[in-house]
Amino acid sequence: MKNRDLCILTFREMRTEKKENFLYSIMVFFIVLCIIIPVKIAVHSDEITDAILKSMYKNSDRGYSFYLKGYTVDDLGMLQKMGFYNISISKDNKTSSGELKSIKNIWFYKIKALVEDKDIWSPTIDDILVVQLFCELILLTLSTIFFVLFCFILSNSLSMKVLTREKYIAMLNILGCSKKKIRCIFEGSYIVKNIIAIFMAEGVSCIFLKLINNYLEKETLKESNIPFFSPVQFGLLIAGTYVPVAHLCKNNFKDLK
Amino acid sequence: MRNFIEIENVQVVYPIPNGNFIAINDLSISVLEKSFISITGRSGSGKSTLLKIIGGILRPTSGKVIIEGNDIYSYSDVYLAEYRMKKIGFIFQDYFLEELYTVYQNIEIALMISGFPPNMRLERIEKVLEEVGLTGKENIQVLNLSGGEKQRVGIARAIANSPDIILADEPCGNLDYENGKRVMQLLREESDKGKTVILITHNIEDAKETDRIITLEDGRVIKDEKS
Repeated sequence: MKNRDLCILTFREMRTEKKENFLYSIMVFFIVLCIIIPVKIAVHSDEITDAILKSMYKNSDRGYSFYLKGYTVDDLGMLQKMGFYNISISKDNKTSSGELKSIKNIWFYKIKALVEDKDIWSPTIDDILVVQLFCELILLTLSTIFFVLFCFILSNSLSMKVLTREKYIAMLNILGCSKKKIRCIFEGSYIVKNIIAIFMAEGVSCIFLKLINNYLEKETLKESNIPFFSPVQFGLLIAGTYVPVAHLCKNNFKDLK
Repeated sequence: MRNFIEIENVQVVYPIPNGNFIAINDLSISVLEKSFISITGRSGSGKSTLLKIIGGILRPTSGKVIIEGNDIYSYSDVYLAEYRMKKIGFIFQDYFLEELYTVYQNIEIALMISGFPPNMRLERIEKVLEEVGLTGKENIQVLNLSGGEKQRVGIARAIANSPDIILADEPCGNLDYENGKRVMQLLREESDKGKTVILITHNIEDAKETDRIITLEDGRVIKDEKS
């Protein structure tokens, strides 16, 4: 079968059971929205926290002070790369300190330091950073739960589809359509439906992040740069929804000859 | 004429809760090229199972199914799909048509699967529809056709790819006398054109219109006669 014909059959398949397809897309849209927004906020939660903290101390030109435990003069270059300035390294290795303009990626640096048996800590903002990390974890857990829900909905929808289209699938098989091609037709129809829902959800989440940016700009009087669209995240989302579709299609059509 | 289909010591066993059910029991038959034969027998005698075996849908538990010198079940499922696409035209009692598609779209599916050139499809579909007496009905939804017309669409689809073998499973089972006669006449025409036609039927009148009648019982041939 030619690819062109495969596409035609895929789109014909999408035109059958229009109501179910529409409902499926709407459900996937909401679920993907519930995955994207928490992930985007979680990924940029340090920047949001940074903007909020700065807005609380509008008149202060100073950055955030951190104690640096376990760092030596040899680590100076690395610390500067992280964004530290006003660095003072003490010989007793106890009272070293430095300042950061922004707390972006602070948890990455903190965890990296812990792995290397060092420490970056601040008596003033560590409590806030723990709350930020806690929120980030909650948001990522929520996204994971919604992703599992997406897999359940997809699995049920595909099982129902195979049941309702049992005769059509048997007909294609009897006419000589291979298992792989039949799988492609149904896989294709689900991928197209998912992509429509993902594009819609991505659009809404972009608007949402744009609003967050505007709010932060208004509150902090500084330009907020949380990217409202990330091609990498978008690519991961497409791939993340494709994998369960491919896996479930493979399972549902395994008995075909 | 040479033997076109050779079935050698085929056995089909289905596992059931209390043991095994033997649907086809050490069955051997051969079918000549371009012949028109019917397979009759009571329900559960193994007629449809035999048709599925010849059609490359069901792998037998043991035995050989040799079509044009090739044991088809010694190959993979991909080969079997290709065999069904190129060699076999299926006709079913309940038509197996996509009701929401048009007559054209239903026949086009068979042509799409075989990779028939898109620019020649309309011409081919018009030709097969003319052969089954449905000229001008290309764009009608199958849903709106009568039972007889649906079965003729089924025949048109079965012959669209010019297969060597036509397998018809109770094609007149859901039809009235007139439409049944028309379908039998179409099958005879296909046989006259050089196709090997195998008909599964309960109806002895339909069976008598074929060249040879094979009667099955409990998965064995009990009678094989010329009609």
